[in-house]
Amino acid sequence: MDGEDKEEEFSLPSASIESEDHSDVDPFEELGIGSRVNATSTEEDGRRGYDALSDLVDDDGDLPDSDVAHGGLLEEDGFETKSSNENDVSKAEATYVMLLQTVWVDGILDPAEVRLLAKKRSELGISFERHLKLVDDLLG
Amino acid sequence: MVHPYSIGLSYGWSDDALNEEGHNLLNQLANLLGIEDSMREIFEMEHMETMPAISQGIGAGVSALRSYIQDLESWFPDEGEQHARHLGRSALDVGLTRSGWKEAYAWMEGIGLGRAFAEGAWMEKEVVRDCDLPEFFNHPKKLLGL
Repeated sequence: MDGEDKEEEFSLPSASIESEDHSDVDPFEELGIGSRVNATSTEEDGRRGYDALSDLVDDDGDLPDSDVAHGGLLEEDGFETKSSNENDVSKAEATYVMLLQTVWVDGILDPAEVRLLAKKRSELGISFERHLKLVDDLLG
Repeated sequence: MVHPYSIGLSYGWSDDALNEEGHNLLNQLANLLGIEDSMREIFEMEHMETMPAISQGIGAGVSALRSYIQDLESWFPDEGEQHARHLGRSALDVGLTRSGWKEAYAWMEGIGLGRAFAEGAWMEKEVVRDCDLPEFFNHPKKLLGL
């Protein structure tokens, strides 16, 4: 009996601990949003708030994409694609003209500058004919 | 602008008259340089304005015109573009100015060598520089400060 008593004496607390362990399981903590979050600093809360805001911002940022995604009719008409390509081309040409103005700002071009322009033409996909037209427009 | 066709006109009309051979040679020159009729007309009108109303010439300038065209025919069709690229690259080597480019390019365009000149000046194509530029290019050389 003494042995059983001893067992009970020793078993009860352990059972109690187990039950406590189960009862102390914080589902929020298990999910990663438990009491630790509540215990975090205001800064962390603020960061979390920012993340939520950035999610919203991201959602807003996705709007044009979703427009494109849902803009099948526009794409079918070639409207969206054409407009996008034209924008890309005009941006590339604007960049190139800016570079052209910059390297020719002193009124004289040297081989190193012209080599740089040739490299940039290749990168931006600007043809030599288009380059000559842009130079013509630049000089008036 | 001293255009090669204007030079030909000066040779052909040197005594204020042009005979039939001179007329044919000018046609030949216009074809060689690839000058459009409208441009040719402008050059001829400009030249006529410098001539007296009455002339007693016989077209003595025909031999000088013939010689000028023969010289051009010896190199222009085959080597014109090569020389034009050479000229463009030479201009770049000494520093290509805005006015130099604009005026020289217009001159070279006038004789059908604008593209080749541009290829040399903007390093679009490799340039062969193993020969001297003909005197024909003296005017654009001057424009480019060469």
